[in-house]
Amino acid sequence: MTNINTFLKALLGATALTAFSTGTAQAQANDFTPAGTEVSNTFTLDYNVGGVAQPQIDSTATPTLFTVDRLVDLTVTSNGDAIVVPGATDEELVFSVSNEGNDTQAYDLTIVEETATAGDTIDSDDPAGAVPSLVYYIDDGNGTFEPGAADGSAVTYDPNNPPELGADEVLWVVVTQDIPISATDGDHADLSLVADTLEPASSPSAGTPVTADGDGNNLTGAAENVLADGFGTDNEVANAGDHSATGTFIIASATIVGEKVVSIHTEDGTNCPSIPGTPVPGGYSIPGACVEYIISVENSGSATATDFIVNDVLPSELEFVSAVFGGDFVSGSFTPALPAAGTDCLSGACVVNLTGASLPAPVAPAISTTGTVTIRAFVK
Amino acid sequence: MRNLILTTLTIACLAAALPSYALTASQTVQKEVVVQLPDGTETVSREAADLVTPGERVVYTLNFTNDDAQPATDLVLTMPIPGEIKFMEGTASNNNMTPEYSADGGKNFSSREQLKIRDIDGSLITASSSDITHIRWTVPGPLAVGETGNLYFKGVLR
Repeated sequence: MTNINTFLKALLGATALTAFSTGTAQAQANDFTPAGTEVSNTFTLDYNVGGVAQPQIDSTATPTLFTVDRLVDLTVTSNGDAIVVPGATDEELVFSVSNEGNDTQAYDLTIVEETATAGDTIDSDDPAGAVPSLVYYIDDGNGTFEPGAADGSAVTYDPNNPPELGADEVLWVVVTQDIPISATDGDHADLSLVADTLEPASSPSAGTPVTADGDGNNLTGAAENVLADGFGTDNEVANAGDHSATGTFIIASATIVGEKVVSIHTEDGTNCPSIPGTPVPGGYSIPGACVEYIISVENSGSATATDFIVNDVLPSELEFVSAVFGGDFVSGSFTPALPAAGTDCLSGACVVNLTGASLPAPVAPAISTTGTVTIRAFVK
Repeated sequence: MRNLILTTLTIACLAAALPSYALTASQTVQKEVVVQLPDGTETVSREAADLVTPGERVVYTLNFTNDDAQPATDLVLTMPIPGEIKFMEGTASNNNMTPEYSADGGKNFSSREQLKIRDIDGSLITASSSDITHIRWTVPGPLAVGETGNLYFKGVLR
């Protein structure tokens, strides 16, 4: 039984959680021999003829050589999904791009908004007035995402001036999106980052995608390209110089339902102030009876609801006794203070106003959390 | 057709009584490719060291021939291990020869088990693959006139 004198107001999930992984992008450097290194070897040969030692053969003047070729390999990894609320703006997904080859390369970066599949139910939106906005940071070498600190400030991605990474270096890429207000609890928006390896600025064909060499026997001389990347998502294939990974915006909102129930705690009014006490069932609403109102607020969503206001104005035929709040409510207070016990509720004099309470999301196996406000009053 | 690098040598003359050329030797480097077949077996082939990238296997081979008019004996063949190559243990023991190893730049050689280096605290420990600087093979012979021989070691490009 609900009462129109009660209103309920709450903010949904005011704090959006961004679940970035605390893992590092790369446990250790590969320390590969740089592309273009000329590996040299020689030998010596001593021998006897007729028991007499012969001059040593020493190949130092004509060593055996080969050139270390260019290994092109990279890995794109999602740095974690982001839990967001409907209508949130400027939410971020972070990816890392690691150069796992043995030479400096440049990288083209593209964001793909994945189309709806069983797991992907909505698309996020570009911030007003922007094309999909990408910024990046060059990792300082410790493999941990430290934007604005050890990894420096964000650089806006410009396809005409792509970022470069030396061997074993890591790039952090941040995509910023808005979440549609129409998104509902449990929606997922998948975004994939595709990184394609380009010739670096020092190359004569700077800016063009790297291609595999293998057009002939070039034992020595300039390093040749060997493409050894795997494939990360369906956006690219192995051994093509590119890689990709998918990150997800997970929409979590609070789902709030309020209810008010009135009952007679004791017909003769005994034990009214102590909550919860022991009710005597079957009582009638006669003068002197102790009436109990319980306002329940239930959260069955995935986000905490904060800043609840539960306001109840008792009807004129009652006299205030006491009120408490509890259940799963976290924090909160009666502000202004509760009426004094014995206050006549004529003309709206008895106001119970709970402010600043939060109701967390349920944790499995529970399917909801419930906060309560319990009010006792006498029938005059 | 494979393009092998052959190292040609000029051997200095000692005295008029001795022949100008006795042994000839050449060193080659190749890439070793291991292919896993669907039935679980492996095929190993050697190719020109073209398109070699870190992590791949290389083979250094020494081929020698007795071009002399007399047999040659007491051959001692030494190959350094380049710094960019990580020696693969056991791959120098080929053709029934037992090689010796040096960890001090080729000054002193010993068997693999007895090759020791000093740890940072001064104690003697067995040398690791990365500590080996040279491999030496001793071929007592006799290597007959016109006879050829070969030996090799394998390593992984760092």
